[in-house]
Amino acid sequence: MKRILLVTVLCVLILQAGAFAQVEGINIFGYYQGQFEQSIVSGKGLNRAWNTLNLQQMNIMLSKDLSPAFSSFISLQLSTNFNSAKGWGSLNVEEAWVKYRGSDYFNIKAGLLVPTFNNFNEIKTKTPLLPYIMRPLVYESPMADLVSATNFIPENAFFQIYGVLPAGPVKIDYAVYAGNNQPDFISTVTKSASLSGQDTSKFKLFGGRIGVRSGSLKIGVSGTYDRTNPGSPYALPAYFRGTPLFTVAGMIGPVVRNRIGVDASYQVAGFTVEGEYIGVMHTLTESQKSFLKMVPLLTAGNLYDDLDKATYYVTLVYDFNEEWYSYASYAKLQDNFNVVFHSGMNNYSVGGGYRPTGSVVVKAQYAKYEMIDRVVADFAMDRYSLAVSVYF
Amino acid sequence: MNRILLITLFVILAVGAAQAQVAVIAHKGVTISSSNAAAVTDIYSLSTKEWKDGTTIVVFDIKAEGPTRTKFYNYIGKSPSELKKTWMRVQLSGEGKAPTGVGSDEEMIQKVASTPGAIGYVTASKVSGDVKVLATAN
Repeated sequence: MKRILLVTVLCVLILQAGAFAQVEGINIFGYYQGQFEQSIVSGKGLNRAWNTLNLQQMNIMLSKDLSPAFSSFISLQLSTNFNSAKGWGSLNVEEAWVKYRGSDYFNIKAGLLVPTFNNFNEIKTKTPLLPYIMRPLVYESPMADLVSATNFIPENAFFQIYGVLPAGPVKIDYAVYAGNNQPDFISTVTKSASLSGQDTSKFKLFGGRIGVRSGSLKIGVSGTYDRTNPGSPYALPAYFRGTPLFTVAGMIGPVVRNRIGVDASYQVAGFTVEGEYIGVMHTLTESQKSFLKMVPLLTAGNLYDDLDKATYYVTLVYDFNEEWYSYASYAKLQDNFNVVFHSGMNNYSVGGGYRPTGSVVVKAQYAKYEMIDRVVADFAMDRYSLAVSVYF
Repeated sequence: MNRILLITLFVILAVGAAQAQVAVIAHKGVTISSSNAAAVTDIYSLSTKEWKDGTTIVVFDIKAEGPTRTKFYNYIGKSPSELKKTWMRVQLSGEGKAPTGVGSDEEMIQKVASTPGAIGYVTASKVSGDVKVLATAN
């Protein structure tokens, strides 16, 4: 009897929830990208090849206008064939925020959000918008074992003020935000405190972007100020994890970090050219500088005495017509701190796509990743990918 | 005789040209009386979301490909795929919704006339007194 009652209550609640969704105007939409990839790795002792089919990513999004001035948005991201029963992939609350819309000039978002940094950060996971399958180096999460995006870009913030200001023939975009220190938040220095996912430091991330738009030309400058934790599991490549290098890196303590970004894009006669530069600079205390000078000795040359990093990419896309496009892209990444990326990595990419409808993109890509100094780090990878990206 | 032929030809061409024109229309309550291509482009790119008096802009678009839509997109200097990408970016960032699609000039006029803050476009010859014309494009 109790079970019947419970089922009845559940049914009523579900039906009411459905009616609520329609009556109260919750918009449900999203996208996913499925792909096939063939990877061929070459290097000393590394030669291997594999191929796989993969639901790379699926995002389910909900938005709702709460009043004329307030709206809310949630984005749930499931990646890499997510299946909790089999322990595959991950489920991630990418965004969950409420927005106050004052005017075109003044808006506030509060909650978990992807902050404005250069042009690509906000759309890096929105696969139907991207010409790529594999994105430029730092934005590609499947490369996380080699490159951690959080070292280069602010992946989350919790408060943002932004808007568009008209200035004669041009428009000025601005955004300022605040969030937690990254990567992995400073609290992981004291893992025993069991506060992962929280920032227990007294420091915070502050950042912003100012951009100018005129016709199809867009230029912007971005910056962030926060502290990084060189001992975080996300500050070094995965294959260093669990080694004594972490102990050494962790002894440096929170380091003041400034990221500078420059982005530009322009469209003309079917061509779109876009590019970004990100520089990551660190300011150390005298004691940190002294310690850092000993790091190469303590780590047998695996870590250097410079935490700075930089990356850039340039992409040229050509739209043959409404359906077909092709592109070529070049990206470079350099991390002065660890031996693997000290000389840098090159990433060449060519590809194209077909849009049978406005909601579906079929993509093909060849990407090559190669260490610039093959003596120090003998690694190269060729990746051939096919994908279908669907917006619903 | 030649003059009559010439005038007839001129009238036919003039009528044809008028039919080919596209009018950018707005709800009668919208406080501006005219607009230009750059301002309309900003509205259809969803970067301008309100009229000068603060009223929210409600954008309507013609769903199906056709001469009116093609002329309007040419007027604002955007291709259908560019606009779709722009609208998708806005929606996937939680910043707004893509314009509501309508099926015909008549439906466009009816929607714009009945929705405060609305903007749309129709074949110029079909404009009725229920809406305000902000601009005309050839």
